Order: sequence, then structure tokens, then C-alpha cells
Amino acid sequence: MAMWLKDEGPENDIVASTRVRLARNLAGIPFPHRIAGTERAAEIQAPVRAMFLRPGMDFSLTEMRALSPLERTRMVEQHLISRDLAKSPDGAVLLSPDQTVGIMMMEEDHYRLQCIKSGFQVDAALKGCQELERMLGEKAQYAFDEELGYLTACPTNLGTGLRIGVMMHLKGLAVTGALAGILSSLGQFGATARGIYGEGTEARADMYQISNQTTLGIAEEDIAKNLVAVVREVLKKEREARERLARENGLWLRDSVMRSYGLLKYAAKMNTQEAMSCLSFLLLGVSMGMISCCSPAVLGNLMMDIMPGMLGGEQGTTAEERDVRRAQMIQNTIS
Amino acid sequence: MLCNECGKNQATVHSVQYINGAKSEVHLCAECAKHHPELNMNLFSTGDFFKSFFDDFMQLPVHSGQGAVCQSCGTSFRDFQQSGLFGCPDCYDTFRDAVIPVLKGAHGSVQHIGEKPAASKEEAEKRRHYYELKEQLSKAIAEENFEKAAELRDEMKAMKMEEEGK
Repeated sequence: MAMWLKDEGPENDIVASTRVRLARNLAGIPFPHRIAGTERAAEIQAPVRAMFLRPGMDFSLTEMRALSPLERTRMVEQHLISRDLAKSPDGAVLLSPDQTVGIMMMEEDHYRLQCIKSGFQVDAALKGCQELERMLGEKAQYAFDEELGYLTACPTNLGTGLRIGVMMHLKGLAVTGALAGILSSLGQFGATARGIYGEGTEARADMYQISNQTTLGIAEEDIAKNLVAVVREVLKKEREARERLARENGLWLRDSVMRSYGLLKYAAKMNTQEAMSCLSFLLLGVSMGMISCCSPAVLGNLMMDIMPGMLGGEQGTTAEERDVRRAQMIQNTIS
Repeated sequence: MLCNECGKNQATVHSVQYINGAKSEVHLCAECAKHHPELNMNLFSTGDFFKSFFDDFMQLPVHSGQGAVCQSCGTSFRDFQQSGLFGCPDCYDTFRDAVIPVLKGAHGSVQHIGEKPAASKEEAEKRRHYYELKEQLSKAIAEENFEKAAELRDEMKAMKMEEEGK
């Protein structure tokens, strides 16, 4: 189980996690894509090592080159690193023992500092990330411009370099057909949404990450305040959709949840798509109090754990072997 | 009720339309509803924001700064247009004039407010307060509350003088 999801956070019937990320670069050194494969790439790690790998500090630093492709894929699936970092030969990641705070090095920017909390905890996650940024700032001189703020490789991150992402399970809105309209209206409020676990039909977990669009010309606290307001609104709409579903399509809802539970509990093999679809219905049933086989956090974790990389990757295993392993893992987890 | 279209799944998407006074009802399952974008108002697509952001870059009018090459890292404006990434922090000085109009479109503002490296919290807080006053001022003017506007303007003036006096 991903350690950062162990706790049950606020609003965890719908919000799986809150992630805060700050983009930072060192002054006077070209951005990662210009120094990849050169000696300068090592300079990026120096301030991190000096600050966080001192005696008494419990952080660990992992270099991507030291990991096998499968180990990298697992870290991506556990949301500890990004896909881009996994592909960066000079990439490295610093993680706290509980894996809730970390620094990715040599991704698109020199540093991507992040803090992740379970449930809906924007303020706590922002504070954690800012504390990490302040600590690194004792050893690192950040590239900064009075007008443009913190300088980043891509201009979409200029200013605060802050991205707040709230992962939400929007099954109620998805099955009542209201999801597309709501997601597309987020732009008017400075927010954007993307599907987690693949787009469209390939993996249907109905998990969406809602995040802020703008990073420049707005202070950190206001970005947070704005996003909290947007997420609260989406939460309200999701709860309304669930209530309406229970009222108008109660039998169908109950049947879908229990049917999914039955498949998850007794199927001998299951592909990712079917498992995601069933887990999404079961999570809805658990969150609505229709069934109490396990907690929302456990199901959220299961969604990560049944991804192909976690089950042995592409190498050495056939798709069918993974499908069997996936079904077993699910049965061992839900009761 | 079953889906009008496939007749197999439960209908969970309901729509009632009145066209020229004639009522038409549609009841679809979530799967079939996906093939009816008109029911979803605007179909959401990820990355639209970023795509249009970069499209804007591609369509930038030729600017004097665009022929330049960053002295620190050798990145040209063309390199940036192709990758969407600048080469180093100094690129922002080299290409500032070319980039600012696009940033205005994408972020709505090009003046950073918020945390600064090593700057005191107090200073960041003051700056935030100043921009809040500025917003209140335009609101007061819009509401023709000139007494309030004068008060706000005085407070902003005092802050500016204090800043410059430093």
C-alpha cells in the first residue's frame, strides 16, 4: 500500500488525495533539457544532498539510473514520481520516510518539490511543500525575476510555480451524464481537470485530478483559496448526483455495486479495465454506506496496486498471468 | 428505464428538449450518452488549455526580439517555439518582450505576487495587501462609491511612499 494513502483524510468518500507541487530552478544553470547527460546535471543534486542527507535527517535519495525499468514504473504507479522523471537518465528523487514529501530532480525543471496528503487537505499540503522549499532555499539560490516570479523551463509554470491537484472520485457525475459539462466549466474558475489512470475507455476508474491553471499574478494563498472553492463546488455536485442516483435509480445502483463486488470477489482473472470499472462502482457503494467491505483508502490503493507494473510489468509475464495475479490481489484485499 | 438507444443498459442520463414547442425526451445510459455531445453541452478535453497556449506561441507576430539568441545558453526563439521550453533562466531576459503578451493571455497578469526567495514574509504580505486594495478600488469606482475610493487611494499612496522611502 502506498504509505501516503494510509491515513483517512477529510472528505475521503470523494477526495482521495491532495497534492501540492512547487517548481524551482537554480539561478545561472540552464534548465534540465539543456544540461542532460553533462557534468552539470550533478550540480543539481548538490544542494539537496547538503540539506537533506545530513546526519539526523531521515530522507533517502534515489537515482533513476540505479533503478530497473520495472522499479521506475512502480514508482510512477504509486504516484511517487512522474513519468517524465522515470525517463530522465539524470533524474533523481528525494523522499521522506513516509513518502509524503519529496523532491524530483532534473525533471522538466531542476526541482519539483511536492507534498501529498490523503483526503482534502490543501492548506496542510501547501504548508508542507513550502517548508520543504524554504529548507532547500537555505542551500540553493533559486532563479527569480521581480516581474515573472520563479523562472521555469515552461512559461506555464512561471510566477509561484505552484500546482495544487485534488484527486476526486466522480462516479456519480459520470453515470448521470453531468461530468463533461462540469469539468468543461472549470476553466471559467481558473481550474482544470484530467483523468487519472488513462483517458477515455481504456481504464475507467472515474478518478479526476482538479488543479489550478494560473500560476502567475496570483499569490499562493489565493491560488489555494480559489481551488478549495472550486473543489467544494464539485464535491457538492457529486453528492447531489449520488443522492439523485439513489433516489431515482436505487435498484440499478445497488445492483451495479453488488454485481461489481461479486466479480471482484470471485473472478479468477481480471484485466485492468474491468477491474477499474468494478472498483469504481465498489468505491461508490462503500462511500455511500451501501456495503462495508473495506475503506475508501484501501480501494484507492488497490487501484494503484493492480496497474500492470505493480503486477510484474511487461517482462517475463503474460497478460493472462497478470490478470490472474490481479484477481488474487483484489480478493486478498477486499473482504 | 432502459436506454433508448441500446435497449440494454439502465438509463441514467435524462434530457428533455423543446424544439418549436414540441417536446422530445431522451433517456440514455452513460455509455450511449458519450456519443451525444449535445447532451453534455461542451465536451471536455484535457490539455486544451496548454494546446491553445502553445498555438498562441506559434502564431506570434514576428517580433524584433525573436531573431535573438540567448547569450547564456544559445537557445533561439525558434527552439522555444518548437519545444515550448526555454533553455535557461536568462532566456526570459532575452525574449521578455516577445513572451509577455502571451503570458498576459495565459495567466491574465504578468506581475508576480506572492512568495519571493529570502524575502521577508512581511514584504510578501504587504504586496498582497496592496493588490487587494487595488481590486477594492476598482470595485468602489465601479459602484460610484467615491468616498471609499478616496480612502483606498490614500492608503495605497501611503504604502507606495513608505516603499519608496526605504
